[in-house]
Amino acid sequence: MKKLLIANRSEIAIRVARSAREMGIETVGIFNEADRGALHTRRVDSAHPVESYLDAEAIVELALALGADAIHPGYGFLSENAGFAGRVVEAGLTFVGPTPEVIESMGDKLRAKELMREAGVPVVPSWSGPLEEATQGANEVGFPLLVKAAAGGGGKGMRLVRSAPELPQAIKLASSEAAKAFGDDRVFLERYIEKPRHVEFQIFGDSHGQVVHLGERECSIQRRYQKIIEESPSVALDQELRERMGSAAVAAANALGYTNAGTVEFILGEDGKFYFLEVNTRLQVEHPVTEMLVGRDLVALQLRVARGEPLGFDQQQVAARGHAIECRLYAEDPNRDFMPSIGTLHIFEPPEGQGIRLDSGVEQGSEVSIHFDPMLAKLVVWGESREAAIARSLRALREFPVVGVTTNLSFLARVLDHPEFRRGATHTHFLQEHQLNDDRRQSLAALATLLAAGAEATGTGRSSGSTTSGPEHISPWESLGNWSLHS
Amino acid sequence: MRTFRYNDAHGEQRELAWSREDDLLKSEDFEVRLQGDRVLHQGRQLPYRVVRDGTQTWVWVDGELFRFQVESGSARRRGGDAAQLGGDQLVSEMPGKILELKAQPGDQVEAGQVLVVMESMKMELTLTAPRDGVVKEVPVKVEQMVDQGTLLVQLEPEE
Repeated sequence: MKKLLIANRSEIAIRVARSAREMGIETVGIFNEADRGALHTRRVDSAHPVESYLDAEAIVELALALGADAIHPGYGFLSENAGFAGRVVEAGLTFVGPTPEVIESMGDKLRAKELMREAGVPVVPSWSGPLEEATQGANEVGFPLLVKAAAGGGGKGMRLVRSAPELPQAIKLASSEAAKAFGDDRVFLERYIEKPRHVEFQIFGDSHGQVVHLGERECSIQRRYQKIIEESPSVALDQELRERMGSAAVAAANALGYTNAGTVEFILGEDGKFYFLEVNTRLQVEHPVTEMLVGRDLVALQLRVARGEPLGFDQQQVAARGHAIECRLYAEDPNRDFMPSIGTLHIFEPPEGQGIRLDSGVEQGSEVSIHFDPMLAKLVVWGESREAAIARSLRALREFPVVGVTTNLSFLARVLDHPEFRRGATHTHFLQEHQLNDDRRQSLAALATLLAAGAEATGTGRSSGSTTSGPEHISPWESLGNWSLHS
Repeated sequence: MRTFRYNDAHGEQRELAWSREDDLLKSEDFEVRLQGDRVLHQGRQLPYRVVRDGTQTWVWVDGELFRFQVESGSARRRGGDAAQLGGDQLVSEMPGKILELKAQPGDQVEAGQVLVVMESMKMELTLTAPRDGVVKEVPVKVEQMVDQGTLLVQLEPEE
């Protein structure tokens, strides 16, 4: 592997390029019109325009034309597109990821569950069949359970049932709601997991038949069904449960003949029972959590495995130290239902210090537009203990001035600072259930207002060379028009 | 003492009496001293940044970000075209679809009154009058798709 095309953008494209360059591999980036001049296009050896990050054929053609011999898909976009992976292989290039067959088999969520059940991996008990037999089905599934619409989604046609007498009425209501919403009244039963945690295992396989897991990540803190804080290890796992879940993840990978990086996602109930959710056949957004914890470069490992090398270590040699937490920095307004915000990053000054890593797709002066996912950067912090990692994350979040778009930075700090989070009582409904404390913000509001008033003091006009130094130097009491943002 | 007029995060109009003498910034309740990129407040120095961007002023202090929509009156005193435009015009912050128009040319409106409801990225947004005034023009229609920065409502110039 001499030349790698990175078929992605923003922080993940930069992250992949870093490892490739360290291995002496030439890097090729791509960008669409909206990303012209974006940070990721300046962190590769060369960058080339494409119509779209989803244009599989054009990307393969470009790789061939430029003499690249491998393609890394990153996450999102074409990363879990079996057709794309197949096309890359067919063109004689190396696809940095699992085989097209594995990607395809895990892409169909129902088929994936079936495969996992056969491999002996626990899946959430569910039942479907003629409704006259639903009572018996419910007993097989166990209570509490959900009646769900077969054609469903978005909570429509869904009913929570805690005991058998409630079942007939719930089925009636769910199926009439489903008929109205989807034109299909079929329903099925599925065990309801209370206060579930989202726990996933990083797996890795090489082309010599070896598969290992690199421990878990707990990703229970979610908003709009998207993860915003991930950590490892999970406080919910003791060594015995970790080994059982890890073995299940490895069994899943072995059943698939898995190669390269992947993630087996589980939900974990309060009773310590866990169930297979899905396999993500790519590098995850939150992979740096594992990198910090086990001290390995997962992208470098992906590239080595892709070119046929063995993993070079076994399960016994995977050692985790301390605790790692990732906070995803989004341009969004937590007070307006996490609505994305746009604007110019007039100020973007990442925090520093031991155990702090920032994987960013933006820099000071970047435009945050509506065109893409509003994730700006990932702050990944390592500490000797969970408590230390939380304290360090809080320091980093509070020493991180980002001005020009509304972000979730202080929201993330409030979550980490919440007594229930500190206690480790995390589950996927955490943000719906808990009120976050904004005393800190309230105590700073009067000061902030006075500082804003001070900005009225002088007229417009003078420009300054830098926005990174303090307001004394940048003269914040002036309009922005004359500022040079790229100093 | 001077008066700082602004809209807070909830769109409420507020005022703060303040004064400044070199590095000393005072309100009626307390005073702070500016020291480079720190502000000395109650005996502790806190990091801060202030950015003026059109009609809004951003303040980041000790990890919390605040955005103030500066009232057109004070913006006007300061001068500057951008500020003046912001005072007379309501523009879309995001691309999206117009769902409702709650004002017509000739209507007398109050600052903070909802003039436009639009949908953007599956969210419903309400856009409010930037100041008291009379509507001059509404150059968009219900159901119309608009880009970011599209003029939605034009107010008659202030006296």
